[in-house]
Amino acid sequence: MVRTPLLSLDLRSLAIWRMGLGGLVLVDILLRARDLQAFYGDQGVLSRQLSLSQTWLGDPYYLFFATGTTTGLVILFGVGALAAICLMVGYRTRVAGFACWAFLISVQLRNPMVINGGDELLRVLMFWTPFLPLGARWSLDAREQESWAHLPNDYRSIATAGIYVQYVLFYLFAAILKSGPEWRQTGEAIYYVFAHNQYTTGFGQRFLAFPEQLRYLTWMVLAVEFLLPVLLVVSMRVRKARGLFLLMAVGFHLAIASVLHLGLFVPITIVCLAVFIPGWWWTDAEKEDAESEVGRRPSGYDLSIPVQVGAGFMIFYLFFVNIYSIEHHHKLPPWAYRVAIYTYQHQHWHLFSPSPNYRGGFFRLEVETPEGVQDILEVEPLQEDGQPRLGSARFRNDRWRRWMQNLVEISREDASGWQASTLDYLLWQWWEKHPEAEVTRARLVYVERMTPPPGEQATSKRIVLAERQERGKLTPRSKPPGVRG
Amino acid sequence: MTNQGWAHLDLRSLALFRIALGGVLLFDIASRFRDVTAFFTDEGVLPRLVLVESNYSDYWLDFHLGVGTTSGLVVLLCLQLFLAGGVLIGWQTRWTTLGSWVMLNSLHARNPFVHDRGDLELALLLFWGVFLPLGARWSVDARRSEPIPGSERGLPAAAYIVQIALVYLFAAYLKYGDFWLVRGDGMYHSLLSPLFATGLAGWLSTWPPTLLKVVNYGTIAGEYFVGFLLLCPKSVNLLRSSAIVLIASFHLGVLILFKLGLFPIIALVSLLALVPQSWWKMPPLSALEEVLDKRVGGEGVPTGVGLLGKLFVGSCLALAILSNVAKRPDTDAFSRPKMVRRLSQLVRVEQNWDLFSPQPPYNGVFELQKVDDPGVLITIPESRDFRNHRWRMLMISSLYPSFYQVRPGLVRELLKDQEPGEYEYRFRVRLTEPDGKVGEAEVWSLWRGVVEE
Repeated sequence: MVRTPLLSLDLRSLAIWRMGLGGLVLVDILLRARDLQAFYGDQGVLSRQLSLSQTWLGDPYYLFFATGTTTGLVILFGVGALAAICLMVGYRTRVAGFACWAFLISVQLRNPMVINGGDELLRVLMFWTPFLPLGARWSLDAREQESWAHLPNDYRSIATAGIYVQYVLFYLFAAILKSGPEWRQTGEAIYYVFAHNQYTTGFGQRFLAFPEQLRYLTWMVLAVEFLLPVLLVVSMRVRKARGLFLLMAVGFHLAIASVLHLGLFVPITIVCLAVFIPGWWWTDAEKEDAESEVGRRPSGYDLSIPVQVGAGFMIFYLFFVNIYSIEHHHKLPPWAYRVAIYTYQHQHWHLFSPSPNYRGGFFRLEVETPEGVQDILEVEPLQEDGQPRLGSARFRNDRWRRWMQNLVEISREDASGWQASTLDYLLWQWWEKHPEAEVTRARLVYVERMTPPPGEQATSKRIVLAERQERGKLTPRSKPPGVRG
Repeated sequence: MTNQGWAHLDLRSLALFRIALGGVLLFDIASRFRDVTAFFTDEGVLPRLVLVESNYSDYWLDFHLGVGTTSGLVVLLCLQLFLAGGVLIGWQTRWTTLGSWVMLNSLHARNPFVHDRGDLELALLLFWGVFLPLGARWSVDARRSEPIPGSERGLPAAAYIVQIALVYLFAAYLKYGDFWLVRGDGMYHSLLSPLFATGLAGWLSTWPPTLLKVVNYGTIAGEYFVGFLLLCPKSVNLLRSSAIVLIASFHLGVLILFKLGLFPIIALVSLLALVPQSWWKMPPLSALEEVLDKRVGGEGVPTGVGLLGKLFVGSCLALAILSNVAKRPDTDAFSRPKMVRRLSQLVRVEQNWDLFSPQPPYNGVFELQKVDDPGVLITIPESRDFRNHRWRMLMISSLYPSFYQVRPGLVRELLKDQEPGEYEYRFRVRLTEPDGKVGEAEVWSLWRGVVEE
């Protein structure tokens, strides 16, 4: 049995990975399209006017500032979808990979407050696609080049090393950054994650009845996150370790999906693992070495020296930003920041870390009418006691969850603008359906509930995030917020 | 002369057109660098925030809104230079033409107040050029024997010819009202305006009124005439040749009489695509063909335009025609449904050829007066000329109440080398009375405020 070269990936696995990446980008686009105007348009919660007037806007290029209209956004999203389809089918693979990467960065930059860890992982992995021969197998590009069938299935380059390094760092630092006492000492981290309630599924909520047993789950999560990168490294030499790695990783992420609503995070992590499917899973037959019969090679197969040097620097950069993130949350030194602007490879795997968020709660959108005060937030209604049945059900979808969470989690003066625009947008949406309503006051309220230790009762606090009040009756806007003239 | 079909453009003419178009585009983009900070960044006359808060931010996809720094905009302009170079040498001709069209429209959308009808025509030439085999001769694509998308016959060619005809037909159509039609002194007042007229125009305005009326009505008639010459399907060689000569003469005249930036040049370039086959048999074009064949070479075969492409071109042509027909506000004969207007704007064939019409340019000058020091008075274009044509367009745009947003930034730019203080920005104008006489000067105060260091 011939040993596979260290840090190598199978061309067939790369092809599956390519299809998966394209599919993920396509699904992401379709899901984002549900809230096209809400999150990316001038009529939504983060209009271009609001973005441009704020302090967090930096130096990068914001493609999605090109338009604020639905038509324009549909065009941009359409181009992204086209790139994703091309990547899936392996048509002009390198260009498609680059286009998907550029699209992901652009859409995430447009509204960074709705992204999660899955978006980051997808973005950093997509960076490597132009440097890998993703079109060498099972692609439209390969159909035009029959000689590519003679290429050996094992492929190794600085880019494949980058993929391995990225995954090792992802799991390793997800574990390392879980440094709070809830993870390392008391073991109560999983309890607090579930009790926070904004992510927990109905199934996950049932585990709250067993707070002591949840400690074991805490240790298990840490153990798995430390073990996975070790398994991945070992699997480069020990065949069976690769299977174990994949099984453990998939199982781990499926388990997470059963107890937490994390949007596309779990599908992204599982699908992207396809890159590590070992060659012997496809076929054990040795391929006759006929590389000399290959004419033009797939794009990304042979990397020039400058590209290899650049990729090598990027691997160093990945190590640097991850190590730096241990002590510095969301900060980079100036040189690393400049690199980040052009490559978007900065990352921080603070996934419920260093400690889980204690600041739970739920939102209300209150309007005062002659009939009284009513909560008009268009999600699962509150129970009779004024509490939600399930905290995670009080969000329309995962993007709304991230947006609303950031309204309270991010403490900067810009936040008041976001809170006001959120109130305006949601109120306008409701008014479209209830134009006859006589509203004298409207409020966006956060009922904050600090997660108590096991066995204790939580206390709530009402925080009014934004309010609209006028003498007499609030006038329904004839145009949605942010529309001029 | 042998007769050339009407909906047919010569491949050599198209190649010459492509080279000239690429050259004009390169020149246009290169000329933007000197005012890139003033016109397109957050430190200039129209910061992004001001633009998106106005009614003018949704013209189109505005990729130049993605960044607000000088270095960022320079990168985008360099990209446009690269694409223009591709057009010039005929490399990936269709894609570079399309890319140039997208980015040029984006640049126009970033600051609509510094652009004019010449820029509109340039964008339209690029648009219709996407469907023509511009790279069939004397190009990198042809030398590499790449397939040449586009068709020099049929609908794509017809669309181009009709577009050029529309410019002149509707330039004439929109010369209505008291100045151009009733009194016949539209030309006279155009020659008087210090905003656009050259010294020669000033001299011409002293000609006898009767002669100037002849020129006035002759211009309108001439514009209709050349439009019909281009559209006439008979004796194509003769009529098209005549139209080219007349239009070229007209624009050469415009070039020496008025300061219109690149507009006359762009219009002259547009004629190159129409050059009939017969011209290539005679010097200097025959000599030019020989030189280019020898030095550049390359002869590609156009692959044509598919059914979907033809449907698209036909639809866009219809939108372009409707866009022109709907522009006459003094009649309610025709108004388009909103969807049609939106489609027209979406594919950027929306157009308006109101060239010095229905009213000629204002007869006035701009003034910048320091409030507490009457001795500090700058008049443009008297004591100081416009910095260039784009500044001219910007200042003229600032006259209109609906474009008030540019005034503060504009004044600060103009007074960069002056002492800080309170200034008034105004326009001293002499409007024309109903009887055609020039009235007394009146002052329009456009802006007043403090200009800091």
